[in-house]
Amino acid sequence: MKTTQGAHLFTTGAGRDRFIQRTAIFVMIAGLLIAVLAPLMSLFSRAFTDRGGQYIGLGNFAKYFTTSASMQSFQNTMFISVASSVISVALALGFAFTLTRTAVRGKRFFKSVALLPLFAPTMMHGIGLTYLFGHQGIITTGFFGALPWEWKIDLYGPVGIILSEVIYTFPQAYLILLVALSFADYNLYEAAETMGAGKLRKFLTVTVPNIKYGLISSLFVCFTLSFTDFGAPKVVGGQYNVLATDIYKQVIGQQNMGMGATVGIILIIPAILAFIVDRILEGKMNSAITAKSAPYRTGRNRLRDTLLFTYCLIISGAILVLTATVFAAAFIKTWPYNLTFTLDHFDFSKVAGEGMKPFWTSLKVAAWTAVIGTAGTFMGAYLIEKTRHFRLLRQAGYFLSILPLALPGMVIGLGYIFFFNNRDNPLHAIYGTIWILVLANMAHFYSVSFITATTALKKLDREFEMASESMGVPFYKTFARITVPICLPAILEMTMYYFINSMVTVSAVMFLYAADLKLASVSIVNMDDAGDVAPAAAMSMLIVITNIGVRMIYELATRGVRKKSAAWQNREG
Amino acid sequence: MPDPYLAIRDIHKAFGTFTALEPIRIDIQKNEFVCLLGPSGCGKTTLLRIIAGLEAPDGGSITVAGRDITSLPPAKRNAGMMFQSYALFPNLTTAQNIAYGLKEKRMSRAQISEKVHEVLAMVDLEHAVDKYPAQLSGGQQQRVALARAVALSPDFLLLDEPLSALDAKVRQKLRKEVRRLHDQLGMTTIMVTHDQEEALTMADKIVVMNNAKVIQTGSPEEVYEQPKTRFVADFIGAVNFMDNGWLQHPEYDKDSELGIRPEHIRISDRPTAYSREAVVTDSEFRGAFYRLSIRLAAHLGGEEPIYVDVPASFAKRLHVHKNLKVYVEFPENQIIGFGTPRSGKLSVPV
Repeated sequence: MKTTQGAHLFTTGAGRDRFIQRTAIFVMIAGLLIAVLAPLMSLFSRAFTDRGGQYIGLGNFAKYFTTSASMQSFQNTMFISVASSVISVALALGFAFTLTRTAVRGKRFFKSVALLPLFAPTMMHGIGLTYLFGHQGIITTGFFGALPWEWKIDLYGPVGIILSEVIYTFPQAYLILLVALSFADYNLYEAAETMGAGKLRKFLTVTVPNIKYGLISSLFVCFTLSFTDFGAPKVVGGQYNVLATDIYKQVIGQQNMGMGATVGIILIIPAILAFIVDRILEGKMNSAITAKSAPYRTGRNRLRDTLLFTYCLIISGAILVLTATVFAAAFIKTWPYNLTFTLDHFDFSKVAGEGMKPFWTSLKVAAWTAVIGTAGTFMGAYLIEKTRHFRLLRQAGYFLSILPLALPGMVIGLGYIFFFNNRDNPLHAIYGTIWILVLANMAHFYSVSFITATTALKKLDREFEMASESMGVPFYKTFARITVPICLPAILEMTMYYFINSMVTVSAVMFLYAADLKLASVSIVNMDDAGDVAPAAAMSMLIVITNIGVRMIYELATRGVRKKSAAWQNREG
Repeated sequence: MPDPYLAIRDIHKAFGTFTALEPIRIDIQKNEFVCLLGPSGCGKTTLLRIIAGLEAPDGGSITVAGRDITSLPPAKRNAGMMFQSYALFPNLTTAQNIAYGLKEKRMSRAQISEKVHEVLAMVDLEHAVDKYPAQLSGGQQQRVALARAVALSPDFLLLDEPLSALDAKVRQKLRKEVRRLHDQLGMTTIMVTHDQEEALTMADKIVVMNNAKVIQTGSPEEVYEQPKTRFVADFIGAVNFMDNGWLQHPEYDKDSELGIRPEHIRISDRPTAYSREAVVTDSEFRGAFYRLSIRLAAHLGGEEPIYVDVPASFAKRLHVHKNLKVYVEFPENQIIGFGTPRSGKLSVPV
């Protein structure tokens, strides 16, 4: 009976729907296998071979952990990651607390400034620090000798890296803690108060347990980001080696792919841990808030507000000064000797940057990643979340969609070399084109977009699909007419996320660009390497300005969407 | 009995190891209003979704007017379905929501528009034609969903807890409205509900379900007055359970369990031929009537209390108060027998 039923269904509308959905799910899974799992597998298998490709078992790992230089790198990486994440989370906690639990002025300003580092490649933070604290830095030289004192810090090394990573990870920690702090049950505070708890006791017994998961999650995220970052150690690391720069040297410098893959696997470990912790916390996060919870109400406290306002002002000031310094450096003739205005640094043709071409290539790659990535991710999330058949396939799809969260960019980049730069692979053709860059970026940033899409889709009534099915409307019409319009804000957010991250990333694409298809972020690394720091600053500025521009377009677009949907959206009000 | 219009034969369904439906058999006549009534998790919604074609049964068949529809997709069954959440598309206006399914039917714009206005007139919502769901009240949303379900001129209408999201007053009003629409369109309607009052007031036929099985099928009067099992008696209305050992109803075994509804117990302030002496232990004012808890003198301190419903005016005449001595009678023709051995203790749902 089953077979006749199937054959019968195939000729009808529902059979066609099912056929399309099944095909789409297969395509999605095939795509994820090619873009995520296969490269990862290649990387794993490569870690067990020597230079010549001979299988040597755990030889690479044994060698790595017995070489004192590489052990030193490992320790260095651990040290800067722990230090950066602790400092970053502590700073972000104060910042997020101020914005959610106090009555300070200028919250909108603080919110925007805190996100500024997201728009810049991590190299830029290093470059900014060089101009402030480097040998010829403004602060090091006491404002070029104008001030009677000097302030020398040993920038090149752990200090510089930690400072850069703190700036880089601050917005991420801040965003997680902001969400954690904005969900609070005021009833608990009132209950604590009626039982006579003081301010500190309330903070320790109500606030901290409430944001516990957010704190852990942000620590792990910051740790992983610092652990795997390449840009900052490259610029301000000096002789201080970390894992990311080791991989770069092994692969680009010595062409030792096996060892590169081995270090890559070591690089994944904290990310996998963070991934597992995140998955465990995910389920626990929301349970604390119920329908009966009351929103937090901010009390009056002059002293607290003044102190925290000053605190936020200092943090924002630091971020702004750093950005402004790079901005200034891009327009100054010869730092610090000739401080006249010039546009020369934007002529990238004479330096290692090779003209404006990398910038245009970056734009192109970012735009394609944004468009294809958003469409693919949203459809993937839709198939997993909203279709009702093939449960096992959909679960596999979900796992593959979440997996990239645990993969550092460098690991994706290396995996891509191993998988695609293989003449036996029919997909070898995309190697050396912009499409491998687009694909790598999509894989790299897939999970966060996927989660954004899934969250938006989960808010839609499960019965929409069934209602249209019962009215005989094919699922794709409901997808186009109902699902997409309602999720448009989330879709735009995903597009922006893909674009901005594709503009700033170096870690994955560094291994993959063809000689004539260099990216802006890569050219920053090259120019900085060659000593052309001012042009590197100029290129950084171009990226930041582009990203801020895209962000503004996004704001305008979402405002437009919101206005249009104001008629039917009563949740906003 | 005529051949059923909609015949459900041995439909069964399991989700993994959980049995959602034991083989089910139900006959539904044309133009009948049938309520699937049961506690949550009894399988009633699964059955409705199988009838709609949204869920595939593991086996069995469904025929409509002799035509087997078991493996037809939802759209080919010509059923109008209304969902518990209404599933109104928030970004479409009332008119667009109703026209949503009509557009698949190769109808002209004018025909669609005419149909939309026709069904909106039926639910008295012509003024809401250009409003979005968020701008409508809960009751209005429910009526739009109903209009959308009937717009496709279905052969039968499937309603999944259509009134459960509404407050009591609106619910009362919409019960009548749904029933009126059913009569007006001459449709066959199957409604899922867990609300016994809803089922009693709206249905021509009630199908009582529990634990994936149909327990009893019958008119509202039948299931109320002659419940076949203890469960049905308990689920629909209030009932006192007592054993025949002391009630001594001649038609039943000595050890069988019997029931009687609180409103069927006669109460008086002086003894009658068959009355027994009792004491009022509690009284609860319910508006139109009082629900008294009494204890029989013969059982003082022992058994659970027996509930008796007394019209408010009569209770006032009796000057009901705690510890009042009364005389109660259990009319033989109102005794409910299940023919099942006695089990558990006395229970009365509120």
